[in-house]
Amino acid sequence: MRSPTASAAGAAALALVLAAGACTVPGGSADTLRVLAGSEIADLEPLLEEVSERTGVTVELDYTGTLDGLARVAGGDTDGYDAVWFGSNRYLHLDGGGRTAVHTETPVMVSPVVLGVTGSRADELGWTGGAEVTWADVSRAVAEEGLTYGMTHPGASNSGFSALIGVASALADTGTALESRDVERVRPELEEFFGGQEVTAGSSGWLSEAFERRAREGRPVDGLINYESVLLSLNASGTLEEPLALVHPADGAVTADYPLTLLADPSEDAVSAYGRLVEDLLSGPTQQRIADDTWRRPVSPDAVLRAQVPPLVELPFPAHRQVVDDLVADYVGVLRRPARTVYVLDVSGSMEGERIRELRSALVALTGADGGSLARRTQAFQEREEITLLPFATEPGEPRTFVMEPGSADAVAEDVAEEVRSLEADGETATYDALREAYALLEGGSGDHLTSVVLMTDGEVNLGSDLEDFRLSLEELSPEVAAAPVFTVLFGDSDESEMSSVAEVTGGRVFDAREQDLEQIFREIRGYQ
Amino acid sequence: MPGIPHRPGRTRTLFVVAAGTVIAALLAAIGVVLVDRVLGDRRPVEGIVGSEKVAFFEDERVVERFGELGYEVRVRPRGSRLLAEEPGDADFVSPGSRHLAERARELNGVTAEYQPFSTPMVLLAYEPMVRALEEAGVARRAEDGAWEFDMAAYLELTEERTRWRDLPGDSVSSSNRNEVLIRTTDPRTSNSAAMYVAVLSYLLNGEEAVSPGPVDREIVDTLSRLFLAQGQPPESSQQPFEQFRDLGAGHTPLVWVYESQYVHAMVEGPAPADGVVVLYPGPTVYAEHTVVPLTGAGDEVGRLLTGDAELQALAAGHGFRTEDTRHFQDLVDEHGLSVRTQVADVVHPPAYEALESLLTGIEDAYTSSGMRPPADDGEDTGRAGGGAAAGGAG
Repeated sequence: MRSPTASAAGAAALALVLAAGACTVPGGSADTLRVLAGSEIADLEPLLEEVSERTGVTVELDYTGTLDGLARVAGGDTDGYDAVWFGSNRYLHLDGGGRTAVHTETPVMVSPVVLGVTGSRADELGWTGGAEVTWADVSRAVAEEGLTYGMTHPGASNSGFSALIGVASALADTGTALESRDVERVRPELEEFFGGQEVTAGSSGWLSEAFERRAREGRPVDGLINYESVLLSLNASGTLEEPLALVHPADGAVTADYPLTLLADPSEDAVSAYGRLVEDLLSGPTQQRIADDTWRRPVSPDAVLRAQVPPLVELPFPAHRQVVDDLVADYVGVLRRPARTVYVLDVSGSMEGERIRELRSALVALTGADGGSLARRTQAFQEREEITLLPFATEPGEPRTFVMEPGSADAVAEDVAEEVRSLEADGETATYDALREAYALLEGGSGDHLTSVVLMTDGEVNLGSDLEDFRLSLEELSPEVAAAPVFTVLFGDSDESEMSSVAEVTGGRVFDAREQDLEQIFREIRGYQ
Repeated sequence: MPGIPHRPGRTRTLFVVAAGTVIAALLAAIGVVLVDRVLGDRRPVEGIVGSEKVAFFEDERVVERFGELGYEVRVRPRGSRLLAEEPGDADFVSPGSRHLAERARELNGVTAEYQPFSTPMVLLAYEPMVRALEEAGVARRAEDGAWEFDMAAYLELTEERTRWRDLPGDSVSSSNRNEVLIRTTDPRTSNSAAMYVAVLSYLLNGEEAVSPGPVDREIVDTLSRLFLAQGQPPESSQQPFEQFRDLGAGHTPLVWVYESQYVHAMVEGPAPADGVVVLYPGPTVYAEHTVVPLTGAGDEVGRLLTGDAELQALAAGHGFRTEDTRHFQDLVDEHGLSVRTQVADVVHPPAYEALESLLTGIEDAYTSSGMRPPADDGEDTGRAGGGAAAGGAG
């Protein structure tokens, strides 16, 4: 996932430097800032190339989920990185270890997390023409008008995390920072609010794509909660048949301020590179480019956003980590619509040995609520979830469905683990037959769950139905079931184009476990379920 | 105190003469300042300072003047209470008050200190907020044209949990449901917030500085609420100032800052918007910026900052008040600033131990509360995201 930006430009600048004064200017990696970043920073890559050309500082970005990344910083697990760059450092600052892990941080741009609703729906709800809409109004619209929306997973992505904090603070309406007792008090309202969440996602970018896709395919969602900048970009892209009306809740929002953060005990070179980078990023022209290219609000008074956006009340962010941890735990365990997932698992002969062992341990890892960081805890199977294991080889195996009943979830999770441990590899690879079976299994479920399919296979399909058969079979399903995305996992000798097609046809996403740990990939997919 | 070895500079200086043109072009082209690497005969001095003083130390005129005096001073910012506790291998630390300097001296076994400049604490607010606060009887325009903010009246307002939309008049948007709260920095780490504690504790203690000894629970509880209700605090004084300036009234309606931050922004930019008003809290407190030397070089820096006329003038340019008041007066006149040259209603911070006890009490509130009360049925729902398990993971 490493993506060196502007390496060519950086090298050119470096060459100039080396030629001009070899003994005064540090060369090589000295002018490289290695940054662990949230995926939302990726849209700055083209701009960073230009910054790099001007400053001589090459920025190397590696991407990870916000909470995951911040947990690494707090835990001191950032070897090899000079800096981090996420939508917000707020969660980091709730932690004593997190606070001392930071040398300097500089907010570079801002974007509040707000609601976008299709124009016609916004009209119907009376939310256009400068109407004052609160988060409580949105909650009412969910309950009374059947409003639906997409939002990212708070455990995986900063926009969903910010939205969760914002909505809970606004509904609690204490005028001050949220406390745990407030969350208890407004739990019914929160459940109502999140009952309207029709789409979840592990990243803000993918959420936009899913929204766009569902509109295109005639299964529209009314709106999405995302960064203002993402909503404005989506409108500007021209890909939406019906542009979004932006709803800036009158009672406030939680704003991302994208602090470029130099980690503690930096080298002199890192301090220098960071300083030059920040100076350029905050300069008027660069700020204007940020506003123009990414639709984020600039932090410099010398730059302006082209879109008309209102000033916004900032909702106070909780002062206690426990409040945040409890709220996120409530979200995954109680507030959100539970997940219903069919794991379609290749146990053909080629999986024998190390591969089946890795599969077993990766899945067993999801059954343990074993403490660890907040992000990791949200990745475990949660109460109320339904998990179906569907191993397949020459033909689909016997599906086993587990319901994580509150109260006995730990025992159920242990059953899942035991079932996973008993998986054995043997036979051919009839992938599409298994996928069709997976959708057939979903057909019987209740409408309350957010459903998806995970397909893990290590080889080419060599038996049974083909992609076209599968595609046609989707048309015979109820629209709700057909809407379930397939998240495909490339593993071993997977056929990449086939797996991409399956993801494409179903509105899913491809995950690559060939270079990365399968467990890590399964954890990442949890953000999409 | 151990001397810091001079860098062997002679040969490099010769190289600089030869390559001077190239270097100049290079610096111009890529904007890299590498003066320290080529001017080897300056004595390097490292300081840890409150973030509000970083701009001063990094000002190229200040760098140049120190250079003329034979020093290359490098600073890095840190919240005041933290910098006193972990000075590392710095040559000096510079907190923003005499009382935190006392702590720094105690922790490092140092007796010397310098007080080169000071600045009073002020409030900044946007005009609609000021009008609403005026109608609520908290803010008023004094005869000299300056705005005053009645801290005792403010405390009453907070006692009633007043929200912005509840203030009289219609100048503040009816939708702002946030409580009327002064935005401060983190009292656990920052001097600016400690100054806020100094003022409020004086009022809560019957207009008398809190004395050392057992802390008054009621005072600590009131103070803790006024901090915790704001939510997660910024760690350095620059952050809330910049958020106030850059993100507007909705984000930060009312903020507690050093007067020098405002003056410096007005003089050097980026300046706050036109509708921004400075209010003088009654009473307020002076942040007395102090240098505590940890090495001989650090001691020299303290001495020069206090004694060198040019550095004193530059400090005034950064909004600080120096012993010679003419510098500040000139600046105010030149830029037509609406600040007071004489600030009268000033209290002294409590003694170090007393202030420290209050801050520790507030710190406890940050760490101890926030836990969800145990569930009625005592059921352990350890799975729901592991919320219950989280307590042990901190």
